[in-house]
Amino acid sequence: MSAEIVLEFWEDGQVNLEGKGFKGQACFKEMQFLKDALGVETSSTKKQEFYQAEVKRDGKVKAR
Amino acid sequence: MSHYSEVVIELTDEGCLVAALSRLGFKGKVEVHREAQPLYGYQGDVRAQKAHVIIRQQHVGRAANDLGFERQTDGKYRVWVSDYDQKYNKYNDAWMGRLKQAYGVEKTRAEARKKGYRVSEKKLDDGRIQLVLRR
Repeated sequence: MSAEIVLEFWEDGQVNLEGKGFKGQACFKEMQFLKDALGVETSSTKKQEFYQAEVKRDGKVKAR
Repeated sequence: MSHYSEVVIELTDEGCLVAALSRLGFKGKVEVHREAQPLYGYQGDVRAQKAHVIIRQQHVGRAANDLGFERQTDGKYRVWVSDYDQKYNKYNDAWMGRLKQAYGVEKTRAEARKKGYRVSEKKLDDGRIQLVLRR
């Protein structure tokens, strides 16, 4: 599955962001520019995949 | 999947604010000023409030006052809507929510484009607007 960011904008001015297909902290890095642009983050939840190993480009695995 | 966030939207980008107002039916009816300009009441009286982004009363509704967005020193826009227009012309909290929704969509599209994302947009049955960003 390729990585994607899904945003759902509610009619009350709130937005939910969800990173899909990212491993580890790549999700935080990819979504930060949107949080900075949109407003104030009120909550953040890490999902199981956040704690999975991040595969580096050279093939080595960085343990978390 | 790895991360959820919830964000409350703030109005800070002039171009995206104007685009959001267009989405809500004010296309071609929005004034944009470098310096804040006075707002006028329904009888043509000058009000104490000033704004950089203005929708004049004739576009707002019956017996309406100007509707304005004043840029603060921190870059955020303060919204000026009269009590009358909140109550009788429906520029209330629900309208502000829809404006922030439209602004969020426009701001996300603009920022995502700069980062090289492709964006798809879908309106959901319950009023939510969904954007999916892919590279």
